[in-house]
Amino acid sequence: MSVNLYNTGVNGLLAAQQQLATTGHNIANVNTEGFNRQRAEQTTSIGLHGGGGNFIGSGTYVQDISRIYNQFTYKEQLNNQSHLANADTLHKDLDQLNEIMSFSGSAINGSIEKFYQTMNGIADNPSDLGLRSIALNQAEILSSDFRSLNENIDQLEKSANGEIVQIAEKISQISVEIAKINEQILQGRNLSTSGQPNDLLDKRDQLIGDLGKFTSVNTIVDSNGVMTVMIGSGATLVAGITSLSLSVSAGNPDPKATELRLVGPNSSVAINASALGGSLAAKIEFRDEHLPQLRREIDRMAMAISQTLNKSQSEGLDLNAQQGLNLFTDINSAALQAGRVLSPSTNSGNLSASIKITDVSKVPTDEFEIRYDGSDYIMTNMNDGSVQNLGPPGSGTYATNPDYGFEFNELSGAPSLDDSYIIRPTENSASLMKVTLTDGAGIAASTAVGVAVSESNVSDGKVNIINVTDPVEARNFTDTTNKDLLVDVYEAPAGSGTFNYRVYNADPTQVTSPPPTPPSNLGAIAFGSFTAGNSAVIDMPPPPATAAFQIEITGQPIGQGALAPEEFTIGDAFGIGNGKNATFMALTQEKGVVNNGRETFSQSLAISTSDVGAKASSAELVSDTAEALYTQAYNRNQEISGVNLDEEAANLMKFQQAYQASSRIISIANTIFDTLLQASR
Amino acid sequence: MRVSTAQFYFQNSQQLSNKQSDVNEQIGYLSSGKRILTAKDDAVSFGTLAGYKDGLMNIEKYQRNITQAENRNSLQETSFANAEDLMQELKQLFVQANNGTLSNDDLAALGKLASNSQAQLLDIANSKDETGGYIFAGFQIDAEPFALQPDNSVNYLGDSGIRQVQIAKNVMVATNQAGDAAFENVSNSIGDFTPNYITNTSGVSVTRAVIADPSVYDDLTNPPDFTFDFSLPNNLTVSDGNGAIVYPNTPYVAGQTIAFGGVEVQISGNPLPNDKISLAPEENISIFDTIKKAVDWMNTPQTPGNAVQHSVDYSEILTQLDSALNHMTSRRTDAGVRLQLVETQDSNHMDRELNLAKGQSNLEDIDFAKAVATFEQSQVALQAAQQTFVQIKGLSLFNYI
Repeated sequence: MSVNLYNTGVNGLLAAQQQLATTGHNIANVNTEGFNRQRAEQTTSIGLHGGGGNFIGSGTYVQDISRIYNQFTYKEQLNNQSHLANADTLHKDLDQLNEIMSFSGSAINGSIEKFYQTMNGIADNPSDLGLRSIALNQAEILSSDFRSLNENIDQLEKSANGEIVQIAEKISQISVEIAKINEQILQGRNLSTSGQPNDLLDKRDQLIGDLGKFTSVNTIVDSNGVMTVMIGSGATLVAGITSLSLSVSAGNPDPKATELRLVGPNSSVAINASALGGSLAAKIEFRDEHLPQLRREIDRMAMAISQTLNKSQSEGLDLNAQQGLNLFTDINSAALQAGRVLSPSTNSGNLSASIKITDVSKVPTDEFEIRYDGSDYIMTNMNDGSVQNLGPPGSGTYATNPDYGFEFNELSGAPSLDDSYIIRPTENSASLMKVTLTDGAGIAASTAVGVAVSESNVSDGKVNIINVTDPVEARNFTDTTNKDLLVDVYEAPAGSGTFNYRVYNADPTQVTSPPPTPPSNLGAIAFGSFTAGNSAVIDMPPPPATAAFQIEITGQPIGQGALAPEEFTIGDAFGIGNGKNATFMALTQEKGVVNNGRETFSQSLAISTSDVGAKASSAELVSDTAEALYTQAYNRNQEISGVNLDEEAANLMKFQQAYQASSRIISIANTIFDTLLQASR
Repeated sequence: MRVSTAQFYFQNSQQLSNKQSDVNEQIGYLSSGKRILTAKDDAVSFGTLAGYKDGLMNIEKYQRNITQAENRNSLQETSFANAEDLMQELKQLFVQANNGTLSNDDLAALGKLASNSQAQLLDIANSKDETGGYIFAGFQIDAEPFALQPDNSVNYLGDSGIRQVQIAKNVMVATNQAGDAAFENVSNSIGDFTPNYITNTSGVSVTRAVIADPSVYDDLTNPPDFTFDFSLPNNLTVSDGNGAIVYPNTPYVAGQTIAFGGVEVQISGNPLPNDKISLAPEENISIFDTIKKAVDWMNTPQTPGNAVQHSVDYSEILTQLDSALNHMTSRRTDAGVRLQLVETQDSNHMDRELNLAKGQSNLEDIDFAKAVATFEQSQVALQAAQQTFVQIKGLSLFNYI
């Protein structure tokens, strides 16, 4: 009897000890991350058949020490953690991009403003060498601003790539650790079939939690307690006790667009990074979507500014009466043209191609892919999916239809079946933007030819000089070859709305006879007619010579009859005090150039900056929401598995009392035995 | 609902860091005074704001150009005002010289004064501005535009170039007047032709000779110069440069309009037979030519032989001097009109600038009262979170056992 009591006491004591140990374990691990509180389950020992036909209980024992763990709340927390990591990473990256864009963007705006300010000064005072030199300086600052913004974007790309490598390494490490734990659990299971290796399980769950920050995770536990881990949309990272690793390899054709591969013991397979979730997917989204989009917009702007100013330069004459040279790097230089076509190393053909920009205002910021399907080049717009068939190889130059403002040129070689090429029409425009003019005198402020309106003109007809492609030749044609280039226009017949024009050399020292009375066109350099509401455009010099400029007649030059037509004289306008071309250059600041002529440079810049700002702002909202959701999931999980010190403190007291009470039983049992011994003396 | 210890701390630390970043953000806004620091703060307003800033920058650009345009056109106005005064003086001298009682020496002295006026006008025409360029040379600003020849005539070496600057989105204003328009293209007071009196015994003068109907004036078939032959008894024949008759032998009534081939001519006075006048086309007469004629006239003493012609010449030159004076006035008015345009645009810009600045401020600047209140609120929230944390950390059963 007393022996049983003794046993019961000892049972109770031992049970209380284990409870205290478990409580102590919980308390000690209150700050351990991923710790699930453990609880010792006490059960009564089987009752013994005692005297009197009764079952007398024989104490208690600890049946199982288990961790309080709900796999559903845990999975919910894991999911939300991945979402949070994804949203947070994207938010931080876009924030950084937003800051860079806002400040660099306003710097570029300021440079553009200052350059045009100087241009306006040159328009007023074209012979001032100081102003010209300042203009070149401002142009240099502008191009350097573009280059440094491009470098900033490069830097962001580089650090995103670096972080991707680090994340991949961490994931691989976690994979190895999980496989080890799986092995330990399996071994432990082989040795004994009872008891849960709670701390190992906790550790493994903690690792899964860490993994969840980097990518979205799914797990399956088999009957042996071994866990298979899958990341993204089903790629297996840990298969039982075998771990695979994640490696990063250079992209093809753009080496900086790195790709992820899942490497196993016998094979490696590429992974679709965007399905991965977590911070890894966010980094890749940032690097592959948001950064390139901004970079292409910046590149397009650099291209637009370069082309606009270069074209203006080419239409005028500099201080030495020479055609203006390019102010910035030519947008169709050989290096830029070739750099716009990226050819993956998997291509088996040897085609080398380039892209030439024909109309800057139409160039989009989209990326294209040209694929040779065996008979034709098929061009796909990667952003909206539209497809064009360019035609079979061998034609040399291919225009795009609808017109994207560029043409595809075959330089040499030929493609093989299924060869594909990535086309980036704006690539490198900002990084290669430089001022190529070294001398301020090279700014083409002067126009080449001008129009003098006769005083006896009576109607509102106007003659303009447009499309000056060779200003030196234009001057030659109107000053040397034809010293008095006369354009006369009048309405014939009267009231018909048809205007007849003629272009003559009226200089008496150069021609034997003066221009005949209209309507005769004898000896005219050019002649023709146009109707009211239209305009006449005449190439000068006329075909078959190459046109150096064009004469445009607009309005209603009615004149006063055949003997008194409206007269316009076109002559040399060059002078060091001629700032008309500089005026035209200055007007391009407010002219729409980008995006089909709808946006000026500063508008385009503002739109790009707002875009980034909007993205950053919504990323912040998404991140805030994800944080709130995660907090809720975390709370729910903690509600079940978290350690509450107060509860444990109360438990300590409880089990301490139980221990004391049980030890009391032992001492009572001892006393009973003593009493028994005493009685038998 | 059970709450774990870790949860307590997690929640509090999250709150603390959130509140702290709130306070930080408010400090950023307060210290810069702007509600929109980067595009993220309000992407939609950022675009509008960029538009306002753009507009303000453009106005600044226009105002700089306006200053330049104002300076240049003021200089021109002053120059023409001076030229006007000179012409006035010259005219007076000329009138003075038409006094039969003056001796040849007196005339010569007046002629000398007139020459001075000519030199002064030449000086004005060759003036430079602060950049060192000649203001009346068109685009050829590095070379003196008006060159005095040994015979006192003046050649124009510049061109007709006009420089323009942009003073509003669609408004350009010229900043110079070309020398030819300013000084060479003074309209001929007689019309489109200048008379040359080959034989003038009657003292007639051509008062008007214009191409009245350009649509029938054919100078290829009947080229000038037109010769007017007066013959007995009272007939006039006009022939063209080739000798062809354009106005057949017709009696001429004094004061009638002679019309032929689109040309109309009026002669004052009674012509005598054998008088011969030829008309050469000249639409514009350079001011310097007029002055030269005046000076030459003053230096030519009147003799009984040339008395009639001298007198005819006098009235012609006087009328032309008037025309030249008017031309100077109208050039000055031109400059004045431009100055007015510039002024109007300037005040437009100032109004617009005010509007834009207001719009920009509405969007961009923070409402200080509101911002300070928000800041105080954030601060209080942070303090509350901090104090709550302190309270919580003291709550533990372990303190009591």
